[in-house]
Amino acid sequence: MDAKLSRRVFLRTAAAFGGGVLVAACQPKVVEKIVKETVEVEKVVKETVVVEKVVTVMPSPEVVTIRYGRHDPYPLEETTKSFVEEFPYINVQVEQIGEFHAKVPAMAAAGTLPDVLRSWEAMVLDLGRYGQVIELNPFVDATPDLNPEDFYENWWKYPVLEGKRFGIPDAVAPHITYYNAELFDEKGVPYPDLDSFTWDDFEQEARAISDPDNRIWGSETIPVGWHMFSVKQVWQNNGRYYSPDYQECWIDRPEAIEAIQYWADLLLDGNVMPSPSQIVGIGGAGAAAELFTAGKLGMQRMGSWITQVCIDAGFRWNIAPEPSKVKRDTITHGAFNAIASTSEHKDEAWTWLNYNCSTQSIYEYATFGKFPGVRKSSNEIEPHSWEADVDFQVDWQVIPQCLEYGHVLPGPANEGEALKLIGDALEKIYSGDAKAAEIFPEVAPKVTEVISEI
Amino acid sequence: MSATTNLIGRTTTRRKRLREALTAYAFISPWIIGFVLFMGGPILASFILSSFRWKLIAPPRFIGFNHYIKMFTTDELFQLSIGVTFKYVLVSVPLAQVLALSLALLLNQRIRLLGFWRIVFYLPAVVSGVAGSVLWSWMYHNQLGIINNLLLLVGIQGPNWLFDKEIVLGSLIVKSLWNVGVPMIIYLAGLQGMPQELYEAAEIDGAGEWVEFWKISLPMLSPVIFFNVIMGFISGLQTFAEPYVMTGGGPDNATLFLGLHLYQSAFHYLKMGYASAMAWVMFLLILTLTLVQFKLGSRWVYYEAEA
Amino acid sequence: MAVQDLVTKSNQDMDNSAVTSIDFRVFLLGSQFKPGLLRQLMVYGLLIVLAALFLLPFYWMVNTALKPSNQVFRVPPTWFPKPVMWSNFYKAMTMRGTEARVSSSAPPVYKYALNTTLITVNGVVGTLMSSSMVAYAFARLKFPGQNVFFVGILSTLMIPFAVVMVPQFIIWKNLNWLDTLWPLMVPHWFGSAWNIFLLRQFFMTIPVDYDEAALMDGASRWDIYWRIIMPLSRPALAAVAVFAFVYFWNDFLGPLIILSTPENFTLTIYLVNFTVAFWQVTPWHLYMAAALIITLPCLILFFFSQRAFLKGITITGFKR
Repeated sequence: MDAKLSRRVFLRTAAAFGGGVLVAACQPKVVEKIVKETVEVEKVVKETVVVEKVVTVMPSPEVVTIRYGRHDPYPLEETTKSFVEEFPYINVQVEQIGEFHAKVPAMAAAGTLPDVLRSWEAMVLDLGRYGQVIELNPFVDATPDLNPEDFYENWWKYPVLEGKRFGIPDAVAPHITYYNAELFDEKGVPYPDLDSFTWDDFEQEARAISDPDNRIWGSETIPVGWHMFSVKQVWQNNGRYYSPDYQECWIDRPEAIEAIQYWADLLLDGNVMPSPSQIVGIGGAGAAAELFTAGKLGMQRMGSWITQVCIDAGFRWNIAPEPSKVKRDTITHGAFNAIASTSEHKDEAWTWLNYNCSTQSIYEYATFGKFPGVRKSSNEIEPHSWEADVDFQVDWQVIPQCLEYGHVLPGPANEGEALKLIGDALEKIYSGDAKAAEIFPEVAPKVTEVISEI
Repeated sequence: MSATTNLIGRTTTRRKRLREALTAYAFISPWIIGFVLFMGGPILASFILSSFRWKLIAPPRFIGFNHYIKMFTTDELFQLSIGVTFKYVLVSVPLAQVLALSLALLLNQRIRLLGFWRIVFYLPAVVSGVAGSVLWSWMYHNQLGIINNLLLLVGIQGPNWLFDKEIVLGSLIVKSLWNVGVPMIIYLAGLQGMPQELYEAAEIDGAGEWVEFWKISLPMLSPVIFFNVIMGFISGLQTFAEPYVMTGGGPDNATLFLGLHLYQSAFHYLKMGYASAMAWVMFLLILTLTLVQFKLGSRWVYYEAEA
Repeated sequence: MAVQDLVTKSNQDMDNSAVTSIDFRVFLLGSQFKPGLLRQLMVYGLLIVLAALFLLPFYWMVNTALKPSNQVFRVPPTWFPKPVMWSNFYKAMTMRGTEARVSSSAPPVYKYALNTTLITVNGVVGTLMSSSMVAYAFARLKFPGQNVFFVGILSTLMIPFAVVMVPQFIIWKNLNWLDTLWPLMVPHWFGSAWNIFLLRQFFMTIPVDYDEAALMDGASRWDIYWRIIMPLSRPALAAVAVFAFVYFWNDFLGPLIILSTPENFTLTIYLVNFTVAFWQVTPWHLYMAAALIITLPCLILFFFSQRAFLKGITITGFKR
């Protein structure tokens, strides 16, 4: 049958083609140069004879490839370009790790973590705890231009367990209060005071601005699904989620109960904040500032990355620190760079890591994200990385100030499960199903059990 | 059928049976090879690891039956998730099959623009799973969602589809109905294969339309119905993408499907051993359900080949 | 061969059947009423209502895809974008540089499309071949342990991927297949449980008379499989091909876990990038635009392949 014949022919040609490709791919990697030389021949008449001589040129010094994994494919254009100029024998291959939660542990289990890994706070500590990333102290000590004083203290001290340092931070997004200056003016409310902005001030100003019938609220809602959002409220009341050594859960202490209940009551009040279901965001926790940029909110407490969308908001806005209760505190959210223990080129990995966390590189990444950097020297470069180009006055200095008093998100062992327990409790409190005083004492011992299990 | 006859009804000798068996194994060999190479090891590993504590970033540690005990005694979330998953499946699978079959019957007629209509109903299945879930998150959004805004046009204040504990599961069920394109196509393909002679014979005998549907079409379709129902349950019980993208398991764990709880346990809480134990319990549940369906199926599924 | 004639005739029958209509109203109400305008109205009415419901999300998808960025979150939402941003489609697929969060050294989107096409075509062919072979054994042959085997095959569908993923990942690592397309291609030549089950059901609806006749003519089992069962199962095979195509085209978790360098990425990863790279300020209009474009090949395939497995004949197909 014709069909059969052509099938046989097709298979044969495919095989031949495939074979040819295979052979072609297996060429040895030797560079051959053809050199033309002039050779003088002794004769009555001088003749120039061209001789073709084949010369094997040795390959250039071995290029080492470093894999750098991060979850956001920030285009490291400038940084990699200048790195290659300075260190031509280190090839940095940037890997974008989607589905970070699944892929990083999978890579750890298979031993294929990238040489340099940039991951969030608790993950770096976890990786260090279990030996997946190496101790960086020897490298830090051996690098004279890495001055610990240049880093903001809370960030420099954070990724250290039992004296061993596991990560180096780069850029950071603090949580601040954005406010709609025009709305404040309209309602005749004084702007938040940059030096003393307390919870009471916040509540007062929010109530004065709120007009729920016209869908205007004084404050943004609390992103209930984002459990870490609430930790700053606890800090501001001098409480903590966990003990400093991460062995105990302290949410059942009065400071924490008080703090969360205060904000829950404010939320449930109905006149001050829209309910979580009214957020105009898609994508869960940390949703961007849609309601704010639509001009419906007086104030929003959020990470400073939303500056980017506020630029196009079309009204005059400004920023203030997070309101304080017992003390001033805020979340400073960022990531750490670490070196995998399975890396075969740890020295080169450190060279890249150090370069990536240098003043200039941090400045470049920070400018891109409109963040501050975690190095004071990066933050001195003008124009400041966290400032955006708007034609009204904004108190930008609020942002870098956060780095002096703000804290890094906590990183206990088994953080994921602990967060689930705390998060479920928070959800019940914020929806009014339970009071903090009832539910936190129940949950705290469970969390303690989870985080103390190594 | 006597023990020594095969499907074709001829008496065979031992040698012939042996040859048939060998041929059969030859035909199945691709699956066997693939299983040995790619699936067997991981499946065995997950079974063994269910008695270990494995954080993925740390080596596994043997702990015996702890996981299984914990699952059934102290883990409320596990028990909750079983309830959520079964509730969802017991409603969505029958609904989906009825809808798919009805659509297939509807589309198996002489209608203008038949091709266009079929595309309309199959189209949702063609959209990538994640994109589809994101799209429906939008649809259900309280302020921006088209559903509530349409309701507003007629003066109804729509509920909070994804944030109301009572109805969120229903919202996910409705979303799953949007994806009936695949079983619908399978029913259509099944309807295509209906032998005309049977209907002609029935017509001659004076059978009415309804009788024809029940006595001819449905039995002839039963292999396909069987397939769709079983597959519907198997995949329904493992639902993961929709809750992961649309609700994250909330509100208040109202959509904490077993598949989601398993994924979170494995990768968010880094409890791969525990997740493996859950997976095997889930496996046993699904297997039992499937075997029961097979047993029942021997009564109502009709195969032409076995006639 | 006599059997070949039978097969050809059967296929011709399917091709040539007169398209007759089901008497829908009769179906519902009994034989008293004549078919006519009312029936037509009901059928079309039902179709239009259902179609509108099914298409509603797509209306929203297209609406969002055509919006300028400042209208995406407007409350109340805009029903028709003004101005209509056709450029979103171009922008979504070709973004580069800092603004787009895509490195200028990343490959252009057609490389992603190429990778996706590669694994899809491979997957479709591999699945068709291997699954039909295995299905045939279950549909037509008797052998010891076949029920155990069948349940075993089905059982592989009952284990959630999450717990098998990491051991499989380790296998890929040991084969040096990480960050290549091999793990996404090779395993599909060994049968897919879902398709095996599906094809087995369809094969079992084919009368054994054909087999019998062929065996008496001295045909081998392979001949029966290749020359009788397969041709007679054209509709089912075409359906499997379409399903497989859509499945591989949209495969998400596999590529995400296995691939790491952009050169090897697939279109699904391209799409996911929108939700990951922008720090929670995802440009949804571009996301929807990209999602629509990525959907197109599947749509076109289905449109053109309909003839292969869906025809206009009806269940009560007889002439009046």
